[in-house]
Amino acid sequence: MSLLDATSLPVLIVAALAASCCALIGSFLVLRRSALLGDAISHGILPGIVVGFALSGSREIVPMFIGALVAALGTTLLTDLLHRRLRIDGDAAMGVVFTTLFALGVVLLEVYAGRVDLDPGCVLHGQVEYAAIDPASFAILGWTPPRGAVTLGVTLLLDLVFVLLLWKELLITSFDGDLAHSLGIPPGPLHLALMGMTALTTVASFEAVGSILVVAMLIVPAMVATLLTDRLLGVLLAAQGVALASAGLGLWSAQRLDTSVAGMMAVSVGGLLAVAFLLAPGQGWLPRRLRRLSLAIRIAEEDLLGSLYRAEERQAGGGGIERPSGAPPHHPAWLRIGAGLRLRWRAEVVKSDRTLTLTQRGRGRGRRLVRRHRLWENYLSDLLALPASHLHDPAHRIEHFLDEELTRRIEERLDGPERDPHGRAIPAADHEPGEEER
Amino acid sequence: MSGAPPPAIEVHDLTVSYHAKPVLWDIDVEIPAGQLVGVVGPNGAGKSTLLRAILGLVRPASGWVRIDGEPRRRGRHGCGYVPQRESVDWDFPVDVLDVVLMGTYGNLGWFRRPGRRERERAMHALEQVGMQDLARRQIAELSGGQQQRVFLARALAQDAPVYLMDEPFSGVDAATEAAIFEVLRTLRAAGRTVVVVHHDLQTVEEYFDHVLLLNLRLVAAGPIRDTFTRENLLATYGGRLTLLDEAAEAVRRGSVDTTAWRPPPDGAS
Repeated sequence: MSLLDATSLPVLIVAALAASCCALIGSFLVLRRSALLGDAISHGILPGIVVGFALSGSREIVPMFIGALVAALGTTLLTDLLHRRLRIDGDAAMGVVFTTLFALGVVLLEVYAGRVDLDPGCVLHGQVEYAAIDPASFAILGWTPPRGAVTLGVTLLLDLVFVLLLWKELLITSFDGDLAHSLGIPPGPLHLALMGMTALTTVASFEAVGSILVVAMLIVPAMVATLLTDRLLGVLLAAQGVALASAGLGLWSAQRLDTSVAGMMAVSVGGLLAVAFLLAPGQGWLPRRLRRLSLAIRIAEEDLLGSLYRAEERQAGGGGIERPSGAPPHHPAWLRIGAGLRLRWRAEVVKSDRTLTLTQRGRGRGRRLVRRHRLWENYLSDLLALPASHLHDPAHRIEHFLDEELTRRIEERLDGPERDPHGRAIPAADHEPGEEER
Repeated sequence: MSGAPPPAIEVHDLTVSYHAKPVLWDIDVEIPAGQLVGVVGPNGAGKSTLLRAILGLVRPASGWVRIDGEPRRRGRHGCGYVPQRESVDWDFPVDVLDVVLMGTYGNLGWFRRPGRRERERAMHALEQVGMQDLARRQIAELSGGQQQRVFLARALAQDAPVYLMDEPFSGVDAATEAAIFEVLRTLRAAGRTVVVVHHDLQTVEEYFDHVLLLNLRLVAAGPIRDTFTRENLLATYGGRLTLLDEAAEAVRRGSVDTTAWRPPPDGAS
């Protein structure tokens, strides 16, 4: 069975359209930190849908939408009332209102189910599977679209017009409501308009994905998108990509497992969220771990170079102290071994007769590290007036993070000291005499 | 009215309440045009609330506000606002230029998008605060001082006759503090009125021409020289400053063992 055959294609189209328009409106809900409001609206409208359907006796979208809009307004206003008048916490007020309204909706659904053609299962879980046997009453270029696709297509168009027309108003009221208000762009009416569009989108989508799972399509694609990008347009586009992918994945896996398409769409989008959490460049778990690992390796390398450089210093001064054979022991063994191997591979140290020797390149890096360390000790000693016994540890931590520019400015600030507080020479920024010949 | 220019901001008998409890009592003050005005008072004195009431963000229980002798207007003819930095979500997916462009939205009217002219104005505002090189940076990547400069640039892009700023000097580095003060002076030179909530008493005399001393009520208002006096500050900060005075005096005399010294009980002032 292919996703593009005669029975699957209409299902795919309806599922994709539902996911797409939910993701578009949902992106703004997530950016406004109003994800729970999306949940509240999508549940709270149920009694409105049922009453609209019962009064009109048909599954036309207009009466259901009017009922849903009234219920959505009711959800918003009741929440506000509980919050302001009874001083109930905002989230708690919302939770009370939408669960109560949803329960009322379920009861009404059972009451009317016997008399009208409205299946509770369909309302709760959607029936996108029947898209192929529920065609529209007209054809475009000889192709009859599924009825759901027409409703959802119009909804997507309305959502797009809404977002494009009110782009700047939605942006500024989402980011800084006070500023918007002071500029004459009232956040309140825009918020209500967004709630209205959420209600419309939810009503149009509930036939496809049901009134419970619609909230997954509202919220999760935008959450994945915010992990992937940090620009508004990027978030909207990425959310669309995630929505379409979860529609395709959902249908494909539902066919394989012979289960609910809407359910598998919600599972798919949840899976995509998990993948994004793990792998998203920048914010994902794995890239963060890799960055931390590469930092740990660099620190172990630099510590090894620094201790070799200091050993050379002591030898030159007649100390004759044994050279260290690896990075200092406060790093775990595997990190010390790894750092030593990497330095040898990059020809910064060479190993002969069980001892490590700096090459010219390695010596330069070690010298710059020791220079940063000793300058920082001076800085702590002169400007923070720390006693000599408290200088080494902080300098040992920060020496890996100072760049050349900052080091130069610290040196300037200290009027170019020649020795650190312990009396050891501070290496120069560029080559020392004798460094090349070794 | 006579031929004299109206005050930049006129606040008449303004009372603001939260949950029926007044937080500003009968504020009646005129702020002259073309000056740098500091609003000073202890924590919880209602400084931010006064700014928000002037902007119309909170509904007063009584009283009214006029800008340039007329009821509040928006955009180019309204008030520029620099809110506290903590008031927004800095993880929001926009870049620096996007935020500065928001300053131009009030002049655009509904549905219209900012175009080339708005973009140029925003870039010019960014140059004024020394942030032009960071225009395409995501706002979460900025330091606190840079975020404050972005807010300032956004207000500059609005090009308003009156600016209201809520603690723009709070938590910024020395370079940003100097840059902000420079912008304030430029605004004054251009005849703008700038009202700044300020918490650092040390710099009030250096930064401002005019001062409002606030502690739930207006304690005093006027030119710095006549108004920023010890008596007025004592009246504004009440017992707290008196206690601090006594403590400072005790340390100065050097007659007190600092380990044994305890502050006098509250109200002993």
